Amino acid sequence: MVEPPTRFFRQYLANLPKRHSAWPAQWRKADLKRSYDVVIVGGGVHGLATAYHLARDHGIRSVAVIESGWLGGGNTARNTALLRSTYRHPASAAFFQDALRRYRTLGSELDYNLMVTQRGYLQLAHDEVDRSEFRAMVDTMASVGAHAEILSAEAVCKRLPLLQAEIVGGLWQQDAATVRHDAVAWAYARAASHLGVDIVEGVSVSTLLERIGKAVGVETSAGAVEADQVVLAAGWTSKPLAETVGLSLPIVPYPLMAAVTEPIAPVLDPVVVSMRHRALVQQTARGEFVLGIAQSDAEGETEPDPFGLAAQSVRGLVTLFPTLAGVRLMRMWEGVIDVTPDASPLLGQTAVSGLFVNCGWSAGGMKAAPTAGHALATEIATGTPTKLAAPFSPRRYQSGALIEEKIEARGR
Amino acid sequence: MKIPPSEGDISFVFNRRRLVGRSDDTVASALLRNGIIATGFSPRRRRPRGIMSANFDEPAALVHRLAPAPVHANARATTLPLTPGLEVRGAHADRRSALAIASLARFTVAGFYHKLWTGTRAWHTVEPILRRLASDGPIGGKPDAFSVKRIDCDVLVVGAGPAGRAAAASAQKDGQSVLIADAAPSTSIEASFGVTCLSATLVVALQRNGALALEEQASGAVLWEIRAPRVVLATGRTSLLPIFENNDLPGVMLASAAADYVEHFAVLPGQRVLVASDEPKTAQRAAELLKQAGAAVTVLDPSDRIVAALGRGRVTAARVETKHGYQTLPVDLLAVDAGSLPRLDLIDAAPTVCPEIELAGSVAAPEASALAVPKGDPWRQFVDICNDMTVGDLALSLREGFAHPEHVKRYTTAAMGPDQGALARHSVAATLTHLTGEPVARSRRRMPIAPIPLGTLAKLAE
Repeated sequence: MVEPPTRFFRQYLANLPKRHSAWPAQWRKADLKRSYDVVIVGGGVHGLATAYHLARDHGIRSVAVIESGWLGGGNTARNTALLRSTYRHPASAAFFQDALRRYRTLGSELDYNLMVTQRGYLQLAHDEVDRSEFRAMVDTMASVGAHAEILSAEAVCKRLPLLQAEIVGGLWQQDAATVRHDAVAWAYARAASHLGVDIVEGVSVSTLLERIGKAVGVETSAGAVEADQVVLAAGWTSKPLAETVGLSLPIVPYPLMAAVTEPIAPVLDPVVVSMRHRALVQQTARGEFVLGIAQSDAEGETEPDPFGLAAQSVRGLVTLFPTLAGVRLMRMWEGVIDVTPDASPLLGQTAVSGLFVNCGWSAGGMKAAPTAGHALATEIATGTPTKLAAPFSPRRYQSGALIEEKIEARGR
Repeated sequence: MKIPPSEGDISFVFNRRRLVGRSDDTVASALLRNGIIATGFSPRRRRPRGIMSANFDEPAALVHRLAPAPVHANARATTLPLTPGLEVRGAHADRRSALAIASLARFTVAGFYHKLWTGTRAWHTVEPILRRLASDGPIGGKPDAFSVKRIDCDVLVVGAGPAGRAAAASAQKDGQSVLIADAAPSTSIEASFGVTCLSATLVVALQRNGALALEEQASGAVLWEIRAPRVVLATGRTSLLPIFENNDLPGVMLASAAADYVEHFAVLPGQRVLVASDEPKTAQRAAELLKQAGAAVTVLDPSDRIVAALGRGRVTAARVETKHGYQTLPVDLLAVDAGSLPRLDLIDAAPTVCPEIELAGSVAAPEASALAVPKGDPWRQFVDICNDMTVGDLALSLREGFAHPEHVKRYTTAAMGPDQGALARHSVAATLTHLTGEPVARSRRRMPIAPIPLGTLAKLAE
């Protein structure tokens, strides 16, 4: 039996008189062994959550998570840290609702404050088309036990006193929350490491190893590693890796930007989205506004400068909230997301025996991690996908049962 | 040094007090003229904060401009010009809440919130309180206070110092159209030799075909979209803040800044000054100027070093380690630095495709800094003044396995404050190098290098 880590709170108390000199590393810096039961490529939230559930739920502790850079440094570090389940397709709504539920207790489970804060998600309806779309979404969500509601224009204005735009109402999900994205990776790493998972940073995987149609390991910058099963959880770089065993994943890399402003006293409680104004905004606990920046519509043309691109979304935001015009933008950053044709993830066993994927999250990965990790670990251990994850099997591209969420992925 | 009011004086309000400054003052120089060096408190530990620099690197003296409109939160007092009707409030200037929080904050360290309140309910109780304490920046922007202007030139010169002017003059002699941008509020080279000059204008980012620059005005701000195939950086150097106990106390000032206040603003930032610079030239300049202005100046022997600043609310003495042991000097200003680095933020944050870049003047000289971490209480040796991070926090981060510069940044939030880590970025890297014994790279600088109002960006889309 593996000892769980000492509770953070007790460690904190013990450390006060020692002036914090006795804190251990949150996860072991492991050396890569030659062979494992499961090798996971990619040390973001998905790879780490999968490793944690393999070890905790199924006792599979001979697991390595191999990260080419620093832990949680991919899209885990670059997103708007929003948890919600407002989706069009029932399979998506059910999946993300389960993740939302898991996130609420994840902090207690992992003994790590992930700063999950229930702020609510408010998507503005600018016309009747928006509103009827929202109504359909609310009904779909209700059919799988997820709750959202339609707000009147007055109710929206009450929640957003600074709003100055003409609206007809809004979609409101009370349960939606924000999370400290980096901490999710750290918390999973800490828990998984204590359960015996080897977490290796700064080692890159160059090719997958295959023997008679079965994945049998990976070739890394630190030598070959054998494994009974291999998981690709490396964002868009999963695609070139899968190609090394002749597997073509339907993933397109897509650059996505976000920006953050200087801190301001709290004025905006919920997370606000307006598709018409290409704006996504939330105010963090630190007082900074995090802005999602929509991609350029102009395809094929020379891509605009980052500021030109940001300006589009910022103009939308200032149209909605003119009093924010004086707030200053501090930093912008860009990530590359892994988009699939139907903007839904690829989760589960691939056509190559022993090779599993947890990628193609299409800008929605952070909010899915606990459910995705649980589902994939279950499938690896038992051979059968969970009911929630089954629709997202990569084999849907052979059967044609796509989960169309395309609009969702645009501009988020 | 108080100067009697004369013509050209401007009255302004600071923390509800009415004060008088001069028309060419910044808020910082006007405060120093009134004998005030402390402006407010820090965001986390609510330690007193005061004027440390005389330029845009300022990590401590952040003020909120409440009037005239539009509101400008987290403005650097060191670059904010004094204008009629100006009313400013120091960041977190409320003294009573500062004392209450400071007493609790003693028990908090980097990442503490991840370790406490791990239960959902506890966090939901605490979060709104922390959120309210995190920032006191006001809002109140008018979209029409902001605008965009576009200009073309052959050469953009960033910085109007001697090197910048020389570069501009020589380019102009070659028949090229030249634009100079300088961040100082009143750059006195207007029309001196027929070169277009934007004052109070900071170049904030390089772009594919030129640069973006922000011009601050009393009634708003202008974002300049400059097309220029060639950019000359004459941005000079950034001084590094030395590390010692209580190096965040008001009264600790960069040596070059102390000299600048005497030379450019005719104001004396302290009466009894200890000068300690890693660069003999800077030390000499500061000592001479301060002496001429009437201060009692001690220049620290190069073999001695400051181990602590002492005082409550502001510096009243310095503890110095000498060959003969420790010594306490009664001073009210420490004019210090730990060497200097070329100010290359624009290049560090540049996109892959950008104009041809040339360096002119001291920015072309290599790094000359040797940041040392002397003995002392690591929890009082500040590395990031703006975001309240100490040597102790960085050491804790390493101890807990957050050793990659990006991990350190995210775990401690060092160099992520509203000053954008202008100084802290370098101090963090130097401190990590000291703590690990291996060279540690700086975290990546991101665009824009100074904050720009959303209102100006919105106009860029039109």
